[in-house]
Amino acid sequence: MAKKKTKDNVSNKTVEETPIVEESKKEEVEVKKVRSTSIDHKCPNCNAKLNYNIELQKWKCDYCDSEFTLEELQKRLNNASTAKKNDDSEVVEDDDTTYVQYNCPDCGAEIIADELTSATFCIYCGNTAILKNKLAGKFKPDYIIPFKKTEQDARNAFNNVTKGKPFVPKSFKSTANIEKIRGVYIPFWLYTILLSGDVKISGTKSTSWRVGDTHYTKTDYYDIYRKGTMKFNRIPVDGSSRFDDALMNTIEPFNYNDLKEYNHAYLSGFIAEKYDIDKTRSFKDASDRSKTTGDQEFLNTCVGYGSKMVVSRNYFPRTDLCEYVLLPVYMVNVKYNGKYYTFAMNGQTGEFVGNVPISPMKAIIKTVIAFAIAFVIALLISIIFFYIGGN
Amino acid sequence: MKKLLRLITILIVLIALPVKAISNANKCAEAYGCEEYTEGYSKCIYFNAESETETVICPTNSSTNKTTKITSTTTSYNKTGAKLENNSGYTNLCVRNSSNNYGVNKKWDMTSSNRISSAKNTPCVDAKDKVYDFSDILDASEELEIASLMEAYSKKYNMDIIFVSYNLPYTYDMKNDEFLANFYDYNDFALDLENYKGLAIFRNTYAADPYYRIMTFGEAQLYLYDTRFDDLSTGVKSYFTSKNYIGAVRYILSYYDSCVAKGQLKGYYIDEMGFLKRKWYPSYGVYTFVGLLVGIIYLLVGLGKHKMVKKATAAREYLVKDSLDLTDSRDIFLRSHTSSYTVSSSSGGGGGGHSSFGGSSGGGHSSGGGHG
Repeated sequence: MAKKKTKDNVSNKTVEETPIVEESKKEEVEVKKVRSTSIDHKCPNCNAKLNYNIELQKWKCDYCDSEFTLEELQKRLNNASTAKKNDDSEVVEDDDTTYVQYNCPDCGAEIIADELTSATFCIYCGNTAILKNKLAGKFKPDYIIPFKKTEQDARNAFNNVTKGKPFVPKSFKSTANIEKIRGVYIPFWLYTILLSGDVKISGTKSTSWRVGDTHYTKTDYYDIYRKGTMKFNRIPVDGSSRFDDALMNTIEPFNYNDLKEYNHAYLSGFIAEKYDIDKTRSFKDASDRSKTTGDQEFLNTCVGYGSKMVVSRNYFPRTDLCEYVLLPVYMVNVKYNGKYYTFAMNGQTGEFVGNVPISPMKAIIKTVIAFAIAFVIALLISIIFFYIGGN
Repeated sequence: MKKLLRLITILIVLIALPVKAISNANKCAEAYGCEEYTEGYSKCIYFNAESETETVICPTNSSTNKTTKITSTTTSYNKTGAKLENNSGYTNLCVRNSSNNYGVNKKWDMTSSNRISSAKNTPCVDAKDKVYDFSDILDASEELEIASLMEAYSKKYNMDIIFVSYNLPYTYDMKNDEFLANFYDYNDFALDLENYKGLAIFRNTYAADPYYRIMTFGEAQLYLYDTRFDDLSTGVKSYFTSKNYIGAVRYILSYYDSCVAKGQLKGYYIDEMGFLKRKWYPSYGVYTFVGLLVGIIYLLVGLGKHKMVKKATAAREYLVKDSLDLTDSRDIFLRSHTSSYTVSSSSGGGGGGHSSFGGSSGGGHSSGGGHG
């Protein structure tokens, strides 16, 4: 395995231990680089294409039915990793790995695939006239979580999402939309954050009692101070501006026990995306999430208070580790009435989210039908109870 | 001499007549238990201490002993000497007083003064007769024929049918209605039938303004009611005006036949007091409201289903367990505030409800009629 220098994945410049510093002088961030090895994903036995089989969690040859784990592949193909684990070590890229990049002229999306995987349409806007180029820049994630859910699982989930929804447009349920479901590896930054800070909380305690007909309520007011530290392990922030952060938040969490060292062989049959939000910008999102939780944790230490509220806070988030990973997501973007509706399924846990569009005409028609049915039933009941029997 | 004899004769007549009148009055008083009689009137008057009314019983012919038909006028007599027109009628079967529920054997509540007064002013007759010709407008054969006609229909429709003629002076038409309703309600007609189902025909022979009235009681109201009475009144008028009472009764009964064939009045029922009541139905507005409510709920539920609302994963998910390390923890008491309020006990007042009874007749009825 050739050594490679530590390089910034975006600018392709040699950097050494670049700290990420927020505008506040009190925040410090360190970044650790991790190397990866690549592996040629052709069958050692018959040289046919090897695809990553989700159900087996192995690579399988479609021609000779051979199955290989990553370790077996590495052993067979003599692609042992000699990467060092210290920060100052240099890592050499594996130049044998060939990626292609697809650019969508409509929405500007950049989709990456290995040379053996083709993309025939843009997963964001559905444009089929996407341009295939050689990958510009480097593509070196640190880790990857391989897909555990199959494409059929994603299709079933998409079918189920339209069930029980009365106002779904007919065109939305078409098989053409289901065919557009693709497994995509989304770039994420994982931050391990040490959050230190102090908060001031306003709290009250109340007691009530009664003497005769008079009710008394005594309220004690407190200023509560809490100071301390807490640690967050691998807060994910998606590194792509194309994915709605709120959507990504709802398909979390991913089980990091399945994190594997990145190997482009995992990409076979799937597409990926490069990050376009760098770690500096993404860190702000991670630190904001940690601060919100920090408030909650400090509030939880205030026991016995009827009401409590954070009135001021000072937080100093610091990250010890920032990892660039690819996480599996099945997604489909469906265009309806000029608007894109994104559906995403966690490729590991199966968590599915997305808003189904509403057909206004269908909503009106079905509501009118419901009104008419209720009207007729009320009339029939009235006839039975009042006209035919009873006073 | 001749003049003297004439004078004596006149004197004798003048003396004898009152004596005879008194004699007849005495007989009248004896016959009807009158307590006293008023000299000068060929009638006896007795006072009802309970209701403080005077009842006048007048012989048809004050100069004779004929008392075959005695008319009892039991309306309040105002002592002004107003002479009531005679009604040839029947002997009161009973004396209406509190000991016999004023002669009323039906379910009406006879505690109100209005009803008591109405009952006392209603002739108490034998319910088996069915034809009550107080005004003497029918001869015996007509009475028999009318009775026979009515009996046939009574059996056919299981209801009571009566015919009443009476000389009832009136200034407003409803007085005829009141008389007929009281007559039917305060006598034992249709006593065994539910809600005293029946049909009553009334001919008022008041010379100044003759009147006729047809009235239904109980379930008969569901067949012969207001709008159908209009047609009946119009069609039967000629029979009454031409005094063809048999024809009138025949017409009325055959009209009732046609009403039964057409069917009951839809959407109405007879309540426990015999009143024709409209069944309550929800209006179309209620159905529209129900439909709108269901439609809106359906729309809101459907719209809600389209939203896959899931909570964003909080960073707490990634918090290392027990990693919170507090280096400073201070709870500083600032101040205390006490508030109070007093609950006053209220004395609730009760309210009673009461219902008042109105009207003179006992139960419900439907009627139609006209002048002529």
